Amino acid sequence: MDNVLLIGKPNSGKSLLFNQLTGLKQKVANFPGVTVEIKSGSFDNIGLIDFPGIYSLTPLTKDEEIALEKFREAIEKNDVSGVVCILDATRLERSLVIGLQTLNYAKENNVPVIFALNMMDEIQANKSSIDVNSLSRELEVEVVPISAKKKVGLDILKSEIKNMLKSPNDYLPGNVWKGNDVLVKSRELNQTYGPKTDVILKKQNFLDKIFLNNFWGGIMFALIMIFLFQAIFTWATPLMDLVELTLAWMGQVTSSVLPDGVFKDFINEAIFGGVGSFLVFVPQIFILTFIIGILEDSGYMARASIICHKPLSFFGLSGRSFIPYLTGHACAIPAIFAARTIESPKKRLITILTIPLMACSARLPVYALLIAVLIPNKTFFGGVFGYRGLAFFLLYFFGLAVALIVSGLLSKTIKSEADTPYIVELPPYRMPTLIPLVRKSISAAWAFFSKAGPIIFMVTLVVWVLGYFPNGSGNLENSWLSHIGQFLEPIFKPLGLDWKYGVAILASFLAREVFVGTLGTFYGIEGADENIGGLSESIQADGLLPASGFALLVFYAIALQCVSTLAVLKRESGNKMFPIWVFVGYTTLAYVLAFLTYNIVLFFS
Amino acid sequence: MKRPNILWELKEKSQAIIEDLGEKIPAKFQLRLGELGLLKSQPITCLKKTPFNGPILYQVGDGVISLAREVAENIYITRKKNG
Repeated sequence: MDNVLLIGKPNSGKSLLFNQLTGLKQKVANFPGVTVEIKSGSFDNIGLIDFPGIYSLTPLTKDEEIALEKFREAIEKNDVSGVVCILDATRLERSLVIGLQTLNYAKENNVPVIFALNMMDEIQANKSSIDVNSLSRELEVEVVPISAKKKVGLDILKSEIKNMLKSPNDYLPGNVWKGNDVLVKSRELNQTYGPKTDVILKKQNFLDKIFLNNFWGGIMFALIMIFLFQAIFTWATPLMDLVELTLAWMGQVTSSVLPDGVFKDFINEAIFGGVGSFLVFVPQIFILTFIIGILEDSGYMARASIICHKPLSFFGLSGRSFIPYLTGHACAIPAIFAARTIESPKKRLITILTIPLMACSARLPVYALLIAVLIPNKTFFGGVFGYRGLAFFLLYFFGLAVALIVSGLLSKTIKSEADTPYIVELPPYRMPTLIPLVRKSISAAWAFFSKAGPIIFMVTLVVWVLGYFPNGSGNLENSWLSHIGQFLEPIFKPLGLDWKYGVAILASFLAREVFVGTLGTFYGIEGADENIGGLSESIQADGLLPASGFALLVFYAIALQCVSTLAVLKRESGNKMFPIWVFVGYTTLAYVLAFLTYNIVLFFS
Repeated sequence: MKRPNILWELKEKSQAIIEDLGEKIPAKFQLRLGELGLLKSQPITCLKKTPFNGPILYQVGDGVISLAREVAENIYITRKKNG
């Protein structure tokens, strides 16, 4: 099968075009060790490879370096029979820079090239135009005007790609420009054949006046963030209830079918009680990824980074740290990779080291459970906002505040050479397209489920066996696990926690969401036939002190309980010792702050 | 010697011509600025300043970029009449 490579600048609609051309026949390959997302798919027996967007063939940041290395490798190894370079018609000059650089590189390597001129619908909507024929003649390249969004011109593009593969010599670049000439030529071509810039930028500049307004810009930013956190907690509830009800129903059905005995207890307590109580949180991860995706695709993320640059630089970070920080609320691992876009090595390192303090989705189950135990389910402002949502917001804020303080301290201690400064291109505001977003969110939810699932299953299994034997269901107090837990109790006593929590905390050092599954298994064993949905009620009935509950929240907000994060930290920081320091440091800090919280709350209540 | 005009001091909604990129900007970075449209003897417009000396929005070529103070302070310009 012939392979064709897609290249273009960020926000040129490349991913959407890839989706439209390949349909469902695609897969995302995270190259081992690099995790630059390279998607591959096919249409009419032609392989299509989608590279991450890049501004130039001369890399500036770490992520561009890696993407370009892969791009060069593919071309030079002759894995590729042709290149489709996507130009954003509304940013013709910017797009031609990478376009002309690609022509030069393709000519050196004897690879044919087609230009796909995307976003033509926006040009028409602005009553502007591009002289495509003259542009094509002067460049000596086939330029196909398309709109990936409106599915216009895609058939012509497909047949051009087929022609290119049939007679590659007709598509080899003719004219090429090098070095600084690329920049001058791009501007000249845009001025001669391109659309009227002022018309195209009118809408964007108008919206920027609102979103970056000194007053309203800040208010909108705050509202968007509040919306994000409310969505995760308050508005995810119906979906979560659905999962919970389905699980409860499945539990009832299986227990009515199965004969009494060890197997039935195992299914009820370990599978539905333990693993099931963690499944409930998958919808929240879906929603979080979805909203972050909307912010990215709409172009707002770049504005948010500008708003945050000044406050973040006060703590030694860059405006670009905002995106990894926000992604860190879904999962620290993609967030640490996202930090590759930070231009300054020092700021990148500080961002990486503090990302684990963001309230990631694995903390979500723990927070959700403890909040359900500690905070009443009441609303204010006519039912729009809930106290539990507010509690969530405060916890997220707490993680961020600790991260900023740590960043500030680190930036004072880490030495570095001259720093690379902050610069951001503002993408146009665009309506996000639903299908690719949903697809991305599903794959994030699936990744969470499939990565954490096996660990949770294993831990749950071990915990269940230790808690069930030797006396069976309802005899947790005399089980093997109880003996282990009582041995460890002195560590957790200062936080007012009994041995059950001690065991759950220890088990969750592998992955923090294990905490919920472990407690679920405990109360499943203890309460035998109780309903599965009521873990928080069981904990309340068991009499967890509010002071201990808050201490637990503080502990989980800070402790770095995630083996995968530590592994990625090691690779991305390029230092074997960093993960160890970070682990020991955050665990100590977590314990000390939890101890203080316990005593302070106890004192006031 | 007359103090050169710097981009950072360009007023909102006014246009200027880019004279030169200062030596304090690393070479690799000068190249990227060029690729983003910051070319010598080309016009640049200040679109929006942000509070507390935050990054400023500029229109160059057919795009809008945002530059932090440490960059904009090292770009020299010739002001037009209304600048």
